[in-house]
Amino acid sequence: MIRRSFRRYLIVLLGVAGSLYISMGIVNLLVDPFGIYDMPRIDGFNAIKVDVDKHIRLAKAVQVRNVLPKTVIVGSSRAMLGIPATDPLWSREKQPVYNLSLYGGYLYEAMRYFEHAVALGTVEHAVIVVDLWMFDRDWETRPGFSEARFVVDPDGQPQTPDDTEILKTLFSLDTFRSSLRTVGRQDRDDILIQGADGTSDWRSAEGWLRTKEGHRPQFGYMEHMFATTAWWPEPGRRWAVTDPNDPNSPLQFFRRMIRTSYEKSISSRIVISPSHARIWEVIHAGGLWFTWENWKRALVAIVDEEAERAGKPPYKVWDFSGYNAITTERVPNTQELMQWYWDGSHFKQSVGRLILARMFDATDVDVPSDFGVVLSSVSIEHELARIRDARETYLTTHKQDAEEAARWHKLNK
Amino acid sequence: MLFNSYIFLFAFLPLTLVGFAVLSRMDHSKWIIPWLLAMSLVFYGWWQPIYLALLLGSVIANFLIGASIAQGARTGQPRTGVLFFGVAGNLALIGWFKYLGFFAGISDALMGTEFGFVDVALPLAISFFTFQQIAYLVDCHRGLAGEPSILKYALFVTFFPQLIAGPIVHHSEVMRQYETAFSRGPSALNLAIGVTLIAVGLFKKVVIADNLALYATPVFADADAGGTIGFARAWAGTLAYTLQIYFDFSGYSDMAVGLARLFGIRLPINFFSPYKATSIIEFWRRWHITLSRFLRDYLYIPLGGSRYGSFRRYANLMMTMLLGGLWHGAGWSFVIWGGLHGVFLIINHAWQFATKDFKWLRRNVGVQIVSWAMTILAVSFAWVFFRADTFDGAMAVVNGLIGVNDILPSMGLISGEVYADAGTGKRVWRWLLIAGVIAVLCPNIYQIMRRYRPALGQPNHKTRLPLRWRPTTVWAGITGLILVASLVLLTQVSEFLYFRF
Repeated sequence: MIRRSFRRYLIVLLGVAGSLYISMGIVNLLVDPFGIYDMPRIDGFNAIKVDVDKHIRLAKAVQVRNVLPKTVIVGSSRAMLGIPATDPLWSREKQPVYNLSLYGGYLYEAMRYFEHAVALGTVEHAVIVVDLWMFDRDWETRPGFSEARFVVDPDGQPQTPDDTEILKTLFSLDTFRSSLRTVGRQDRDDILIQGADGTSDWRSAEGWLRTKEGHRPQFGYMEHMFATTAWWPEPGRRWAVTDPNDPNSPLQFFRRMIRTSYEKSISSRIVISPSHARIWEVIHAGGLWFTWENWKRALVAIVDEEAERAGKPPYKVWDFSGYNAITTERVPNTQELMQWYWDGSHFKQSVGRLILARMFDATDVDVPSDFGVVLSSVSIEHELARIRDARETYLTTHKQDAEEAARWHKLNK
Repeated sequence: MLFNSYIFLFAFLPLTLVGFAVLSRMDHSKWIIPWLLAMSLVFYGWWQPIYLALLLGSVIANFLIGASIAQGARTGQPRTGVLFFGVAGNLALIGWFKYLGFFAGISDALMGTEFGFVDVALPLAISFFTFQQIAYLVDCHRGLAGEPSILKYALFVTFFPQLIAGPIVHHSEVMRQYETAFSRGPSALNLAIGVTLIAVGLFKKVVIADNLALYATPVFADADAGGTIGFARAWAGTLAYTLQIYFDFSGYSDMAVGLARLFGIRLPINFFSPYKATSIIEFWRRWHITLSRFLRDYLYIPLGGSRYGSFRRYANLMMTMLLGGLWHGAGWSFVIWGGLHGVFLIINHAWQFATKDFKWLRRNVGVQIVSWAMTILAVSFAWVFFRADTFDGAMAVVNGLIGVNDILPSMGLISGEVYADAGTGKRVWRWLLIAGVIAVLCPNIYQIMRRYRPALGQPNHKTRLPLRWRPTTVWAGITGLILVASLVLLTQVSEFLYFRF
């Protein structure tokens, strides 16, 4: 009798625990809140992954293995929000396209995700979108980054990724909460959502910006952040990005990406991203203008050297920064919406389309003629001088903007 | 392998249990000891296979030394020299791996030697298995132990539930159990009790302790990094750590007791609601009981205990607590922690002596509450030194506790700028309240399951609350929920919100 009751106790206990545990796993699998189980996205149920941002580094490492893209977009949040991976401008032979960009991603992380994707064996094209801040010498990997997820180790040797993480995630309460949120928030549009192609769509920011008094405070917020954290002046941060012999310089990671790209016969394009002209004022006020120029020189030199090493023509380095019809867009004082920018740093996908159209010579898209130039060892000095001159003009035509952007650094002193 | 890892819970443990069941069913119970020994070695070697050699070497050497000592004891010719050699050998081993760097540092500082930084990787559980074996050798000498089978002896030392973090087991407590329990095989009773204890222990560790750590860790990290800690944060951090270490360690001990019980073995109790203690003496009877017992029997009493007058007694107490502190880790912070407890114990004993004629003091509820509050404050204060990595860090927290940075200046008691504390979220107080109520007011699992005596040597305290565990459907459902809550919280996928860049 007593024996039976102990047996029944065990059965009930393990039955309760086991059935709850497994049901939770099934819900997580069906909803797939981080898009890592390769489950179908059903409209109104789980199509919009509202919580994927929390685990973006896990999600992208796994998703790219399921997508097996022919083209990858590599970069930081600007590329993640701004370069659409699903667009008719990508010709058929370049598809599928996957956006591997990570917010907060320094160049090392971008390189590792690139190497991971390349090692999968399907990548033929790459768009590498870079910003100066990604080359901070004091870089570190962000929380949530893990080398164990890649199919290639940091030394370039093949490795078996640790897929137990995917299984553990399935049976985690944290995932379950995200599952519930995902199902419950399909109709919300005040969020940043990530598509199956890896590009994030801030589809509702327009409504959001209206409630936040428009773009101008957003510009200030972002510039303040850059002035106080990302583009802190030297020597607080070390921007010795141009020393070719410095083994810790992120330029070495850039070189490694370009070399890998040549070795695997990938057709790559390098894009210097078009943040708003006000951001260049933050760079200038931080005393980093020459660092910024030298950085561009170094990118061109590395591409040339690696091209020569591989015996192939150099990849095109497209510079969309500087002063042009896009980057000098007027920042409204009202809640009026901007055409090209979310804030000074992040451009909209409409700008991303112009970038694609310019690089792919699309004839059906009207790209401003001054938007995007190719930097080469021949043209670079001319282009840098042109930007310096354009800045002088900008200071007179956009006096208020220039002063506002520059003042953030004064707060540092 | 850790008890709260997937590999342990979902692979190692089921496999070990199935092997145990199969061997006992098929009437191969003589293979159960080798089976459990082999699995225990896998359990240990999972971390660093290289240290298996060290563990095995220590086990074999102690077995041989123990056999020699036991033979001496049986024939009436005590082999004190062999005992001395054995104890010294164990101390040398732990000294080499755990304390070399510490003493080299002291020597460099005091005597101008130049050992520099000596760094030897600390083999897992070395403090536990050397102490358990020292106790075994002494017991052999006293004629209380003597194990003829090396396999059984090896299992006694390495049995995986108790190997990594105790309880520290006496030979006499478990050896006879091995015989009977293993021949019986698994039973529904043992499995039910074992699984219940494992669920409760896992919950204490994963749900309570790990959440408290979220509040304790940043405070001490800030303090160690040279930050200033305000009044509220210092208290929140200190109390969070006080509760964290209790739920962490006692949860682990509950799991150890439960795991052993799956195989029919009853381990000695290690924690019995220590934060209900109304004196430091009582605290040490309830906290890490098997270590206190070891220190009492193999250090304090051999030093002379209380036999040579009160001065020697207090000196012995202090020595025991200092060495007990050092046992926890090779660092000054642990010595200070042990020293604080030594001082507390001396005060406590002196107070008991001074008030021995006022028996009403011990019955008065008001006095009891004040005594409890003083005890918990003293214990929490000492934990600050235990937890902080640096002495400066500990002092930064202590300064926060007494309000040097914000409370005292604002009251005009000391001059200086009022430090504006970043404050603590409301959540920490909610966690402290819940965990505090469980630790201080609720009956512990050994009281709730008292009828089935889950652990050896558990005090016979009754609980006034009508919480008595029985194998009913309701208790099964509650325990099932506790278990599943712990399992789904094993992975907190690290979150990262950083989209601005």
